[in-house]
Amino acid sequence: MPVFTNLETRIQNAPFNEVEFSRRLPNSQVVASATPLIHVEGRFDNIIASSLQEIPTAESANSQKAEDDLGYQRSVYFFAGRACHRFGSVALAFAPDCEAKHTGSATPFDSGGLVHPNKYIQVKLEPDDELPSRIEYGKASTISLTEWRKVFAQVLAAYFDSDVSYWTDRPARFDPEELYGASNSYEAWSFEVRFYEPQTIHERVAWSTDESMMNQLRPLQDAQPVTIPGDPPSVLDRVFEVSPLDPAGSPTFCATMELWVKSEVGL
Amino acid sequence: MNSWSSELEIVGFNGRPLVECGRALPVARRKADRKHCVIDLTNGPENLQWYPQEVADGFANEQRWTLFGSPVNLPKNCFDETQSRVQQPMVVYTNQKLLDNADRQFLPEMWNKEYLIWKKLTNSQDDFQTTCGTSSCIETLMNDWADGLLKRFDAMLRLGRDSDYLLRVADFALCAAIDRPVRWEVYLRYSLAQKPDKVERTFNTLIGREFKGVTWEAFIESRHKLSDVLLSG
Repeated sequence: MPVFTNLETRIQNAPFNEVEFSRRLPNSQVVASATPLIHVEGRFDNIIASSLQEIPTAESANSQKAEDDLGYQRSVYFFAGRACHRFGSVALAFAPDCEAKHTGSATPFDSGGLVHPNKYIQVKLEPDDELPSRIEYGKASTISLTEWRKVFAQVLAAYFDSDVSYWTDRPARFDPEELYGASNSYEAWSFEVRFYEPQTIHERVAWSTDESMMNQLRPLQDAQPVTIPGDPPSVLDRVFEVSPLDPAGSPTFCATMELWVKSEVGL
Repeated sequence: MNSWSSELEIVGFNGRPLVECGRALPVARRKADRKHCVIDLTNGPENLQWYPQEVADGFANEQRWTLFGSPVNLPKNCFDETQSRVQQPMVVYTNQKLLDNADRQFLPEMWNKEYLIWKKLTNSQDDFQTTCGTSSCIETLMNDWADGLLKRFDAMLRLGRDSDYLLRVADFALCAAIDRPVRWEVYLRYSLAQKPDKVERTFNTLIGREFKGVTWEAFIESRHKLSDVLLSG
């Protein structure tokens, strides 16, 4: 049973607290509705060099296998408000309204980790936690792109001690399948949002990079011809129209991004 | 904290070398279960995310992580035993080309009272060497390289070297420079080596954003003064 199923019934029993849930929900809804989508990119240089400067749908065999298993179309992946180093060297943030231009779906966890052969996400399922059960659980946990923020708010209010714990801690209450159990890390409780079409980088509202990427972009920018007044800006000029959160880059660019996200959602 | 430090070894770093020199978060391995993590202590050591060996191998194959040929210990200076405080460890990598230009041909075995064990990156084509120290130690080391590169830039400017060469030295220095005053010095020189009509764009997109409050006019004045001093010396 997905973590959000029958939540209104679940919260009536321990360890949940219905009064606390009702008290917290309005603010969790504010946080959930404002949370930007974060994509961490490993091949930002390739995107800049491409004709449309779009984040493409995932090309790795593991990602495409997970999409086929779970019945998703080819997808561009985001986490709601979370940035993870392991995906690359540039974190790109997109405002909630960019979802309106896309089809897609969401899950309250990293879908690829759920159905990966190595079972990166641990869950207790019936009759076992083998792939067919995991696929069934993943499909049941899939939320539409128009509904996921409502579910996100409910999960924040029900399972976390505070909204900021989504970023700085872990769920305080377990679910029967132990998705939120001690053996899992943030991939198990970070909402994954998938767009079924590529996403242009030029709609980002914030970005941060490591120093290597910034040191790679600088000479690229210098090598460009000068822009004649009235001519359209070059690709790199468009990239730099939005100031990086840390203009020199930083090894902790993901923490920088999450700090920005928290301030954007009022935490 | 002491037990935490003795359980971990540094096996690589997050990302891959894209430029001649840089710093990156270390990838550590827990000896007991061979689980890996990127050490980012922003949210405290209890919030590190652990990945099994096969995931780590996958990240390395996809060049998301760069792994050393053999592990090194977590720097002892990261742990202040009296205050139970953990200081962020950091990896630095550099190649010989940058060190030669900085007149730092030999990599220090000790820096800021810290022992540094250097590892050659076996898979890199560009002769990279790397080590792990406390964040503050690595920052001062990189600033020292930047300082060496600044001296090279000034000497070569006086000798009338071409702007492509000077721009490359300044670019190396920007890769190495961490502290704000050092980066300011480097950016002034970088702009001296640029084609004049490219300086304003670099100021608008990079320098002005990094040094908030510095106006274009103030920057140009500093650049003029530096140019006068360097070329009159």
